[in-house]
Amino acid sequence: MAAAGTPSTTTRLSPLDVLPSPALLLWVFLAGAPADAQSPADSHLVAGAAHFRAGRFAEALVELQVARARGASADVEWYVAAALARAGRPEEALEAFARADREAPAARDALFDYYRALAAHDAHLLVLCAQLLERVAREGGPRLREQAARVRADVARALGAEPPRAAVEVLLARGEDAQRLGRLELAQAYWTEAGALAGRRADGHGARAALERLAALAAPDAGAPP
Amino acid sequence: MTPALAALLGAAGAACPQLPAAEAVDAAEAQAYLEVAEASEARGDAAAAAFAFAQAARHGADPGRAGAGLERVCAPAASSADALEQATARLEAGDCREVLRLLEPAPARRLPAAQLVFGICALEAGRPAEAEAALAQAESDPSLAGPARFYLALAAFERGEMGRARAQLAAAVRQAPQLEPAARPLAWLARRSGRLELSAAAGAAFDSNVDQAPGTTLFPSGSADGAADVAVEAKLAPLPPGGPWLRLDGSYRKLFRLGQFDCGAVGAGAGYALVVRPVRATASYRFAFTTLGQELWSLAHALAASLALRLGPVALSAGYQGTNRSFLSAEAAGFSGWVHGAGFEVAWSAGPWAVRGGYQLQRDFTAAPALGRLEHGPELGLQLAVAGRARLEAHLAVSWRAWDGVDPDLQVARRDTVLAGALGAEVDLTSMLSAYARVDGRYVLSNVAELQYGRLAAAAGLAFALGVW
Repeated sequence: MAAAGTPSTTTRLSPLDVLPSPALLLWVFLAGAPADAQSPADSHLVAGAAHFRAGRFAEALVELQVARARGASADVEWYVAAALARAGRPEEALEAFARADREAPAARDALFDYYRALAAHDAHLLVLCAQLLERVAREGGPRLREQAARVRADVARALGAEPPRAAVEVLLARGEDAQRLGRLELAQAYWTEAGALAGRRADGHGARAALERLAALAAPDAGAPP
Repeated sequence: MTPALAALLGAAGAACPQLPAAEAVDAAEAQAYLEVAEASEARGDAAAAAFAFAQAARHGADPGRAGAGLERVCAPAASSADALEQATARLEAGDCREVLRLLEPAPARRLPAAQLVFGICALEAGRPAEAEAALAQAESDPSLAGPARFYLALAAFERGEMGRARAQLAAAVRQAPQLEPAARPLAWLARRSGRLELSAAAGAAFDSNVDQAPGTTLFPSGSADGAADVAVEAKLAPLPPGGPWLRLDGSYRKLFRLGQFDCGAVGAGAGYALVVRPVRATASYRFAFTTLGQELWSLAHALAASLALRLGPVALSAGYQGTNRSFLSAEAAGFSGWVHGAGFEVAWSAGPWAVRGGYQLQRDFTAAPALGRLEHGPELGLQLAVAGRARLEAHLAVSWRAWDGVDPDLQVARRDTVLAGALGAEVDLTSMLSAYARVDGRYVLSNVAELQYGRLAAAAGLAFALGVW
């Protein structure tokens, strides 16, 4: 059995597997629309969707970023984040999701939460993953809920046992690494997860360290290495 | 480099598009692609940057800017693939100096695998900051995250951050389970090591000739005894891998029958280690007193210095120790005085095997001139690490001893030859607990037949070690 904090497998979805998703479905559907009927930004969205559908995520990212530069709304940040999640860049995806949450909170939907959960899973942020999947279960359509349930079961198994000390320490260390690189949102995510895992241990190992780091992160000189 | 790491490196690679001709000129489009390309390049996403530069060229971007961008992203990638191939071969041959020369130019390290190889060798060369920066770049490639974290753990180990080292090792194994055999012994070592290390050992021992009774047998009648041993030690070294250190230690052996030979020792020492890879130099002072039976037996002040140089699989070291001993009993007072010892050693390691050879010299200047002596001779050792958790060791030494004066009782100038050998084994039972067993044999030949003696000693027990900071 996988130890807590040790994901085993992740269920991967194609956008076409999760039909009841208004925003992303619309975007992917655009891939079939004639490009000349769209604005400059839309044509890049269409191209991005085509690349995304074909599994060319680096190219999809470029088109989405060009779309943003050509006037697309901040909603595009959600697609960028989803593409990063699918490209196997979970930490960058989590940062992009945080940015999207800030800049276009209204565009969030259950499918984006699902991709965000997958990114959290791949970054070993299982408590965050479980929280996101709970929301997917509440807000997603039937097929998405079914897909999410598989990942939830995997995460629940991993979180079932008391997390080992090493799992907490890994998260604390990753947070410090992220802070050293100036990736403060990522550092916050790791330390929040470390605190949550520590709270599941009988001895609370690492809880104080996580709290201290989160408090320091909120301080004005939070960008400085510890 | 472990086979698992070699396999992971072999999986790394990159692809790049050709520079296309302008098809649909649109300055705004081209500019947007260029900006995204340059941002992707800055982020280290070569694949996205290459695609965006190509798209910019397709939309009529300034060929200089787009072409130069593609060249930066792609041409170096091709040359860095060549550099990586060469560097990986040199790494496998243990030639880190050449690896650093090949990968020193930043364009040669475009590929994450090149960052990994560079980081490994920068770490080996004692350039931890560069190593960690390179390894962090390598870590961004999911296929290399495991080995990158493995070596980041070693960097943390070097800095004495054992908690971080253990955490990185755990993460490395999660990313690349094939690294587990290499990571586990390191994780255990990290558990035992730190800025403050506490250790203790307890066991049983047997000595065939406690009182060094003369004779040609290893088991002279009435001289054998069993014993119980305990030892404790605390060492504080706050600025690893070098810097100052303090050490306290104590040991006691309680014999079951010959209580007059019960012996104990308590010591306190301080020193300084200067580490400038690949050189390590140390200087130290130690005070110790010993007991024999129920009495204080000796006091000793020791000054020591050593110099070690590691060149790939070969390590050279030399050292000196001067000890001023004061024996407190009247019958041993003549042995008081300075003992100067010096030696050098060459060690060579290959995989689990390590062999070392050296030569030792010791000069005693004693209070009683006739008891002074010069002893010197070679020694040879062989070590084998088994499955990362057990160590076997064999040791052989011979030395020749010449006494300064004529023995006042025997009226001869003594000449001795000392033959010594040992076999030892240590097995890690848990991250903090080991079992040990050791057999030592010693036979002293003398030109005075009555002073020959032999001795066989064995010891076994458990040892505990913990790094608490």
